[in-house]
Amino acid sequence: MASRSLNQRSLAPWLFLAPGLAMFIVYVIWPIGESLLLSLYDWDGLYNREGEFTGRFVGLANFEELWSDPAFVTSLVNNVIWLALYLLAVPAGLLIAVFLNQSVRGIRLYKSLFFFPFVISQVVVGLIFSWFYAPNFGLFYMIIEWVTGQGVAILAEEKYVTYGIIAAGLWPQIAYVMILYLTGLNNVAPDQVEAARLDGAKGWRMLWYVILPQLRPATFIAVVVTVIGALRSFDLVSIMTTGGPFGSSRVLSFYMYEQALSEYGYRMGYGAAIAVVLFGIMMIFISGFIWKMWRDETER
Amino acid sequence: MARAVSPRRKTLTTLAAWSVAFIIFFPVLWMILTSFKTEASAVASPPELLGADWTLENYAEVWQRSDYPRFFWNSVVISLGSTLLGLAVAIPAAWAMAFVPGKRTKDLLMWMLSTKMMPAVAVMIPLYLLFLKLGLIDTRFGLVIALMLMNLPIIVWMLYTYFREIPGEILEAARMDGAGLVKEILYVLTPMALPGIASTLLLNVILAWNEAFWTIILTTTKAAPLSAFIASFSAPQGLFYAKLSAASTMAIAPILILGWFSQKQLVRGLTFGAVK
Repeated sequence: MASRSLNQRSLAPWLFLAPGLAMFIVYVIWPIGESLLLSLYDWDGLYNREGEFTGRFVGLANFEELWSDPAFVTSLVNNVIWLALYLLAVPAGLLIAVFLNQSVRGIRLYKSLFFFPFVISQVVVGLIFSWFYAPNFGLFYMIIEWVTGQGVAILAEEKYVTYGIIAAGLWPQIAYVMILYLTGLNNVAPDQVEAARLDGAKGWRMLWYVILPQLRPATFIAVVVTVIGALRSFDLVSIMTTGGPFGSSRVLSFYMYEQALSEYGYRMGYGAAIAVVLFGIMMIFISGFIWKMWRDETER
Repeated sequence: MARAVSPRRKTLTTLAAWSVAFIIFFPVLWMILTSFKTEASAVASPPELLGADWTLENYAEVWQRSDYPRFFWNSVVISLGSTLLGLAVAIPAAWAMAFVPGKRTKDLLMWMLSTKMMPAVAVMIPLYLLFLKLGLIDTRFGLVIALMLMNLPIIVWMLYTYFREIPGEILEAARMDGAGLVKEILYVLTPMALPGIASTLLLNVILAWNEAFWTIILTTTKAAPLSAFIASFSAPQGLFYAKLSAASTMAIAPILILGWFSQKQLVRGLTFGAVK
C-alpha cells in the first residue's frame, strides 16, 4: 500500500502534465511540422476520389517564387513596420503610467476608463477607427482637413494606410501596457525611491536606475503582449481594408490567408511557404528574447 | 510616495489625467453615441452632438433583422466552454509545475508562453485541414477546441503563478492527514487558489469572446459568434454606420459589463499574474 501511494506520487506530475503537453503537440509541434512539409509541395487543397493527397513535390520552388513576388515583399515590409511601431506602445504606456501614478481625484472610476479599450474586440476597434478615417464625416478626417486645409482619406492612400491601421491597434495596446505599469508601480518600494532621492536622483535617472529595474516583470509581460498584439494584425487588416488599396496594407498573415483559403485560390503549398517565412522571422525574435528573459530569471 | 503636493498642482494633474482618460475612452463613447443617432445624423459634418436626432430604432432593427440571440449564445458557449475545458487541462499541469518542479520546469513554461507569440497563421493550414477532416468546421465544439488550444499556454502560465504563492506546507499537511492526491487538489488547493482561478477564467473568457482570427476562419454561419457577426454585418451593409454601431455596442456590452464588475480580478489576469 505504501509503495503504491509512493508510486502514485511520483508518477502523478507526469500524468498531470501529459494532457497539457499532448494539446500542445497538437496545436504547435505537429502543425508546424506539417506547414514545413507542405511548403515543399504544390497543392490545391483537394484530395482525389480515394482520399489521397494530390500535391506535387516541388522542392524549394515556392520559396523562390516568394522571393520575386512583389505582394509578398510588401507584406513582409508591412509586418516589420507593424512590429517596430507596436513596440512603441511599451515606452508610451510606461510614460503615461508614470505620469498618472499620482493622487488623482476619482481614481477608481478613472482607472476603469482604461479598461474599455482592452476588453473590446479588435473587430470593433477596426470598425470604430474606419469611421474616424472615413472621408467627409470621419472625425479624424475632419481634424486633418481643419489643420491642413486638405482632407486625407487615410485608408485609401497607399502611403498612409498601414500606419492608419497600426494607429488603431496601438490605441488598445497602449492602454493595456499602461494598466500593466500602473499595477507594477504600486509595488515599487517607497523606501528605495526615498533613498535614491536623498542621494540626489531625479527625473530620468530615477526612472531608469531605480524604478525601471523594479518593474522588470511588468516590462516582460508588456513586451510579450505587445508582440502578440502586433501579430494579430490579421484582424484589423481584414476588417479595415482587406489588404487594400491595391494590396498595400497586406501583412504576411493576411496574404497567406488570401493565398490558401480565400476565393483567390487554394494554393496550400504557397500559403504554407509564407507561414514558414513568418514563423522563421518570429523564431529569431522570440528566441533572442526568451534567452534573455531566461538568463535574467536564473540569475535571480 | 508621500510628498507634499500643493492643491493647485493637484488640480492640474487631476485635470491632465482626466484628459488622458477621456481621450482613451473617447472612441468607445463615440460609438455608443452614434448607435443612438439616426443614420443621417451619424454621418453629419460637422458632427452633431446636442442637436442630433436621438433614436432607439437602430437597436430594434438590428435585433429584428439579424439573429443576434443565436450569435450571442454561440459566443457564450464558445468562450465559456473553451475556458472551462482549458482550466480542466491546465489545473493538473500547473499543479505539477508549481509543486513538483523538475529541473526543466522553468524552460518548459517559458517555451509554452513563447508559443503564444507564435503567429497563428504558422499553424493555420494544417489545423484547418484537420478540422475539415474531423468535420469540426462551423461547429461550436470545433471552436471550443480551437480556442482552448490557443489560450492554453496563458491559462497554464497564470495558474502556475497563482499556485506558486500557495505554501507547499499546507498541501503537505493535508497529505499527512491522509488526503489523496485528487482530494488534495480538489479540496485544499482549489479553494485556496480560487481568486487566481477566477482571474484566469475571466481573462480567458474575454480573450475567447474577442477572438476573431480563428472564428472567421473556422466558422461560416451556424457556429459564428458575435465577432464574426459584426464582421459580416459590416460587409454588405457597410454604409449604415448607426446600425453598425448598435450591432457593435450589443456585441461588446456583455463583456464591458462583465469587465466593469470584475476589474480587480481582471487586473491580475491582464498582467498574467506576474505583476501584483
